[in-house]
Amino acid sequence: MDQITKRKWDKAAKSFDYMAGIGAEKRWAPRKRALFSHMDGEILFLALGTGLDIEFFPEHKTITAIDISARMLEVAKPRIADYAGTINALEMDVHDLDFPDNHFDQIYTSCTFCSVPQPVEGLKTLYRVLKPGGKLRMFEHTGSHFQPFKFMMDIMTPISGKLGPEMNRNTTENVSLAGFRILAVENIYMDIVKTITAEKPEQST
Amino acid sequence: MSDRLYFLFGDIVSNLVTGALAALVCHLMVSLGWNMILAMLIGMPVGMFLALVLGLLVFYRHFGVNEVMVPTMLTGMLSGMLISMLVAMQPVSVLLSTGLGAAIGLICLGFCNYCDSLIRGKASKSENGV
Repeated sequence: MDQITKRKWDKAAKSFDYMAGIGAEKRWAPRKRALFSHMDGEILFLALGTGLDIEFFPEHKTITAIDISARMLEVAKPRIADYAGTINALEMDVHDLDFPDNHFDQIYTSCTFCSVPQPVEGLKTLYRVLKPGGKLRMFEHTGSHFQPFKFMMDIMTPISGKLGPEMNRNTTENVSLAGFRILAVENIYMDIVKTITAEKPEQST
Repeated sequence: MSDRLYFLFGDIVSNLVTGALAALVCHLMVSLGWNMILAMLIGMPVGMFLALVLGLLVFYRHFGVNEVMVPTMLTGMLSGMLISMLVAMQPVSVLLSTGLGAAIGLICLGFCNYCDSLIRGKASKSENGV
């Protein structure tokens, strides 16, 4: 397990809801609810964090959720308990998933790959555990292709990366590099906040 | 208040305050007669830093992260640069500097919203970088 990332998020657990709990979640609520409404079959959700996304999950699903930080999952416990379905929360690193190959029908992420240290490797691990034809649905913030926003996000990343997420990731391209077929990308705020829907091709093993 | 009005209010206030504060700090920091390029180069990171601090302490929590961070960082950057240059070149009152900073904030917010309206929606393959 990546101990540096784990420590970073363990440290952030106490203040995470204070920073992200009102504005961002309220602003993104309709988009997240729409994305998660597709949940079906064997579902993997990463990274659960303090469980702020749980309120947007459709009811009566069985969801396997992972996070690298045990302290984040500790904060998430009441939200997990309140969910009208089953959430199996596990402490796990996305780079080293302890699941068999071709196991999940769908994988969901929510503001995850801004923080995964080796994003393409992490996405390749998701590719391994997703069934052929399975869907990867992501709600992510990424860098921008447009100036002056690209410049601003590039110079902010060394600071933001120390506290939590990096601001200039090219997650869409990383998804493609990991072997997924991109089905749709929808920009929610500029080309910075977006949903990405991708598929593990049927012929893959 | 509806969510739409709440976030509109938040966007306006965060950019007005960021622009005005960046301008005020740069006004107090730069003196008449400074090299204007030097003043601009110092004002830019100062404005951006103030935008980040204000965002982390006040605005991101209440009004969202990315949708506030992007316009306020632009506001901080431009307000810091332009007001520093202005103060270096000619005598300007604190009130005028601060008012101009706030106006820069509104212009930056409008620019970002305009860019958002052009970019938002389904992305083409070339835009995806794929």
